[in-house]
Amino acid sequence: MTVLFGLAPALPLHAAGKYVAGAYVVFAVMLVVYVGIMTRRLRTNQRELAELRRLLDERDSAAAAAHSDASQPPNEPEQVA
Amino acid sequence: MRTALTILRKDLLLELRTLEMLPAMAMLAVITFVIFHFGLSRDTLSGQLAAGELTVTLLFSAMLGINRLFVAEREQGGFDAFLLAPVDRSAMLLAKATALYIYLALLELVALPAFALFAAPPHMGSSLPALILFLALSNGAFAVIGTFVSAIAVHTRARDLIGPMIGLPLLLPALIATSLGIGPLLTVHASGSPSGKWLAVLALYDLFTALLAYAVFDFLLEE
Amino acid sequence: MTTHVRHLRGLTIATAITLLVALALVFFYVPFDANQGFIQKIFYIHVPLAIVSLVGYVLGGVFAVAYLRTGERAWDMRSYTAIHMALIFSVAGLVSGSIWAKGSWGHWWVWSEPTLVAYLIVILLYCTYQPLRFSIEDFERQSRYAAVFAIVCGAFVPINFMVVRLSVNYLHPHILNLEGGNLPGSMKLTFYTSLLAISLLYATLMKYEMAAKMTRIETRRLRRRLLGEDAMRPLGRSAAPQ
Repeated sequence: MTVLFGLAPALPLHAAGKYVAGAYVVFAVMLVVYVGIMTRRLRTNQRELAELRRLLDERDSAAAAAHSDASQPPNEPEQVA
Repeated sequence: MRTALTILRKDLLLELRTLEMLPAMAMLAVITFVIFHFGLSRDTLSGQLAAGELTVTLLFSAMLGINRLFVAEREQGGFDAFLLAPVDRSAMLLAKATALYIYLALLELVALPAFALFAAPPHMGSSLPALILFLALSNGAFAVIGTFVSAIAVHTRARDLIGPMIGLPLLLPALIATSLGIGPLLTVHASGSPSGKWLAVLALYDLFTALLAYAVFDFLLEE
Repeated sequence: MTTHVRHLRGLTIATAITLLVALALVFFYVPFDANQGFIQKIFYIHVPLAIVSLVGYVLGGVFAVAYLRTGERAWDMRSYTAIHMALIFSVAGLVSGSIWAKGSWGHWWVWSEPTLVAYLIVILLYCTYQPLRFSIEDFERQSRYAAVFAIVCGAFVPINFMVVRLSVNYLHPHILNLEGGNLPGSMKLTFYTSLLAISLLYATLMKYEMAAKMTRIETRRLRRRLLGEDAMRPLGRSAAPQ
């Protein structure tokens, strides 16, 4: 046993553990922060896509309304659909 | 080759008439020595400290020249004229790098005596040939990288910032070799003969930067 | 856009599994180092991060060559993403290296370790990549100049390491061989597994980033088609290829 301790690393284990944990935690935190930033960007993009879809829908329904205006009497085109 | 000579002559003539860059570079070198004197609070310097002061001072003065290298071309439409002419694009690199090399050599004509006067390193006289050899090689790397960086920076918005930001890390290998090579020459027990290792590193770095700059420089001039 | 997402799921799963295996090997399998003890376990994260980020920088240069040859925007995007991810990886590598230095030598920064110093120089150099892109307005010129930068700096990376190594050997004996020339078998296995895991992580994140960028561009394109040039929001502070 004493021989084993004699061969043991110069640095005590409890002191080294802190640094090893630190290094791996830094890596993990950077990964999580990166994923977080990407999530935020994804959400912005999704919001913009939703907005575009809404605008497209509005434009389509307006076009449909205009179309039905020309062919039918102007009586609530929504109910036709 | 003829094109390069023409551009070089134009540049040198312009500098001779306006004296825009060289006096400023020399002034900056001298004032930097004075600043180092107060910063370090030493009357004389030797060894690595002296070498560091010399190389850093030359580097900062060189930066001044590098920032101004293509300004005339940009402001007076020289680029467009050059691109319209049916000439080899590499001529611009050759001419500008040579011009910068000459400016650096002229700068050192002022800076070295000022360094000897203000820092008074030991054995300055006996190690002068080796010192000049080191500076001649490091000027090569400075000239090529300076031209490359200046050609990039001149087309950016933050011209004065981008140049040094890219240039300084790229110049570090040359700076390391020059400073560590000159250091032993200026110690009290200096032999006066230069370290072959650092001369070789500098020469190889010169070659490396020259080949690389030659390979990519055309892409910086396209329109 | 789908081309970028196609392999993403498989790659992500492979990365996650390899990363877990590597961590298990590091903490439950490989024995303590005879000289350094427990602290040496940082080696298995620091060195792969460093190697992968340096390869990433060189890869950015290779992609830049392809861009200058073909003129296709996709290569510019790849070059940008490779350097962008390498920068993130190298900051993680630098921090873990600094922690290792503190743990084993008692200082957060050790000038006598040439790999660390050369690494710092490379990071400082590549920190200017995005400001450079950002300060050139014309997109075509921006891509071209960024490609030239990526090629020159990619070639600079190995040269810089050689020169800095020479400079330190000149002053001090080399303390620790970071590349681990003759490791025992168990350490070798763990190291290579970690290296594979970090490489896969790099590939995954790069693909992820590319997919995100491409989707963003697609959205902007749709917006332009749908609403015309006037509805375009000004670009945010981004140096990414457009």
